[in-house]
Amino acid sequence: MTFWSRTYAIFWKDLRAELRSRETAGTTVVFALLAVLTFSFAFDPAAGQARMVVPGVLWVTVFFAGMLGLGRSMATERAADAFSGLLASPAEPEEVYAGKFLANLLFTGVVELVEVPVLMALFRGSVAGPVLWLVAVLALGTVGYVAIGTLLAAVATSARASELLLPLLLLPVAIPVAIGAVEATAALMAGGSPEEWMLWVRLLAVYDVVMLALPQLLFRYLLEA
Amino acid sequence: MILAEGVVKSFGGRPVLDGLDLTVEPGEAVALFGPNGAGKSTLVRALAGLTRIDRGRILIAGVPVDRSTPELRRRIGLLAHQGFLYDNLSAEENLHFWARLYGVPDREARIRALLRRVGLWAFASDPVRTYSRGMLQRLALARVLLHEPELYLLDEPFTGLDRSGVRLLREILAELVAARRTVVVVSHRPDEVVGICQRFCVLTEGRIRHELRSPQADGAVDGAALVRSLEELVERASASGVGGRRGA
Repeated sequence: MTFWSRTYAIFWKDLRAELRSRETAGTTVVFALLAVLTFSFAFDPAAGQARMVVPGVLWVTVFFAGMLGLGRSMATERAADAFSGLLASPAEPEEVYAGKFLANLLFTGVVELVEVPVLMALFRGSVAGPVLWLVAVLALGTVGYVAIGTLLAAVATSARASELLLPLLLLPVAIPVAIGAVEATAALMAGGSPEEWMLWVRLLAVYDVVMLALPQLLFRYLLEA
Repeated sequence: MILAEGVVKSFGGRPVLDGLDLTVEPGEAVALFGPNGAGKSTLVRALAGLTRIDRGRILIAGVPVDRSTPELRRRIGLLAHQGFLYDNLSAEENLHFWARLYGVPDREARIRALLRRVGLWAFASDPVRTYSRGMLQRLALARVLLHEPELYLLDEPFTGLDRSGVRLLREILAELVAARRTVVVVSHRPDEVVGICQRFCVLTEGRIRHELRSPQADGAVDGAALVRSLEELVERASASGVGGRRGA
């Protein structure tokens, strides 16, 4: 058994549970669409505000929808005391983290896949810069957010009011990724020069590296706590 | 197989395990009794490496439990109060997941055989959330047997089982003992484990205060007398209050 086979087992389990229940993806996608719809009433799409509004709406919605999924993902483990079962199994905590991270990444990616076209259509948004770089920004922002979110969701689930604690823990730590992702998205939508968005892309990349490395050091202690 | 020496564990300043010593030889089956709060479950979790002890040491197969490796953990099967089962998955999917994690070879056949053995084959595809308490316990038992560990740590495995379930579990335990697996089983009823285990320990105030051996081992008493003796000891410990602490 290798790191990847055990990581895959955990990823497979989360995916399978989601395919059966559709609890996480269903709820988060509906939440994201409702949020986008609400924003479309608050800001007039016809007023040419798309480039100003869309980046913020996109990432705020992704963050809050993602938070619902992150909390849910860890709550299922706590409900059956399955973290104890995982700790007693041959799986290392880092493998548990990696499996949960990949599953959360997939669920958040599904939210974005549904949300982004609807957002663009509602706000009549367009991307003046290279679309592939926008995809890269979406990927980098999501990886960073889900990486730290998975870690902090594990912390929050051990508390009694976990659903209240997770936003309090996660949102302050996610400020750099929020700024980087919104600024990069805005620059790409406006068709700014590569220097404008590359700065933010670099910030996102560094944030991702740090947030992916941190759980390798901390997740073991959080699970055992 | 198990060496626990001077194990101390406190929760909120209250010692739950208070200098506990326990040695279990490979192939031995030991039953643990005691009143609520005596430290039985804490001991089982500590033996599985899930609860960090404050003092003392626990070795499993010669390895300190707090430094256990995936290979060592693969040799241990833990049945805790919660079955480590996922509500949204079926019985088959739950076992598939744990089988993958433990690297069980020939998963399909093993899972099929176990689900038949515990009487859940007809419900194999049903989500676990639709299961009764007894069915969950049967599935949790199948999960523990899945990877054929050398050491079984079973915390109140008879809970929720009906008569046929109790009979089945006794059969399985007898098979494990016959196969020279090491078994530590927590129980509240001596009659459930007499005839299977070789040694019976009564925990009170976080320590093993009484120890009896089975008639098969020394021929001193018959099974019924052993059950009576154990019931008296457990009764006396329970009468002392929670954890066997007077006035607790």
